[in-house]
Amino acid sequence: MKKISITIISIYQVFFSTLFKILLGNSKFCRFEETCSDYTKRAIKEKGFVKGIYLGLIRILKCQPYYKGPLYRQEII
Amino acid sequence: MDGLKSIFGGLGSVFNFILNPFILIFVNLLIACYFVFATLNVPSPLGFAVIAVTIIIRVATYPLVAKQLKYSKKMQELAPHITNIKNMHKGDAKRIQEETMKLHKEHGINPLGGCLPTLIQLPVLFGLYSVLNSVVNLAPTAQIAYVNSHVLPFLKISQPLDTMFFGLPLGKSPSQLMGTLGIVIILIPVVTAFFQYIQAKMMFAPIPGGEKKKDAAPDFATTFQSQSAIIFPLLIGFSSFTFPIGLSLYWNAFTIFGIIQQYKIMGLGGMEPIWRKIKK
Repeated sequence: MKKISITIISIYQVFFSTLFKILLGNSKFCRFEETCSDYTKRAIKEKGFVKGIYLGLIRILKCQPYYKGPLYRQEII
Repeated sequence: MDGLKSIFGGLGSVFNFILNPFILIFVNLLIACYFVFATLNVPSPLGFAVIAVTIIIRVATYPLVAKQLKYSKKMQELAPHITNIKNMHKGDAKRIQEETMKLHKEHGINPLGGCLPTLIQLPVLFGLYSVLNSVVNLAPTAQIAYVNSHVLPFLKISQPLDTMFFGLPLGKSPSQLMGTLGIVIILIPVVTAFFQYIQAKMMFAPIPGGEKKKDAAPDFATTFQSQSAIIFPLLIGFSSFTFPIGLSLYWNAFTIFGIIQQYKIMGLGGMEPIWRKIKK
């Protein structure tokens, strides 16, 4: 499950994310130092599938101006 | 299996729920533009309506896109400074963040609010695609039914729309026209790929002063990403060979506007070395 999910995220990063960037003509629109997909990959590696996906979803919810926390790469607790 | 099916069904209806308002707006805009051009006796009104709608949408989203492009430009300029900070305070993430924030403040950069302004462009893209695909592609009676089920009362049509654009049927794809028009029609995919390449090349500007990872052997992902400015334009060019010409018209208008906007805000970007070579 861990490996499958990480592979799926990697495919998204290489193919779909790049495709979206090219279609929209914009290469940088992430507010975080480490993108959500990289973060989720790392979280799955360190904490396992369920917790990793959960942390990834929480991270995506922080992609809005009302989240005032740190934007740099952090240890996953 | 049923569970999976209902998940996909659910996703589909969420997608439609987001897309439908955009589709309604776009059909109305398109028909309104069509009427304006038709009353002005402009030849090939549908083709010009497609271009006009694309430009209207691009102008409407201009501030949104401009903000993001300005942000990327400033970040590109600051990249060497940030690398410096990172090297100076290695391992101290908090200190790096503080110093980076300070640098941002000095240069008047606010961190981006979020990715929503960018993501909102995707339904715009797919919405216009879906509208044009139906309007241009449907048989006359189905086309009238489609348009009339979407537009305001005063925009209803009784005649099918004229889908010719300077002698080219907007509903046919280059692959279908190969037989009658011959090899000339290949120009459409070539032009589409060309503009897409320029935009992609401008976008993926090399980071000034950015360090390159020398020790890491290039894996598939990094190779693919560095080649994506060529791979994706080719892919889009190939697909435009099988798409209706009306869609290629929309897509090229969209890309050209994007190129101009990018040039105005960010300059030539990654195209600069190539441009200098051409000028010589």
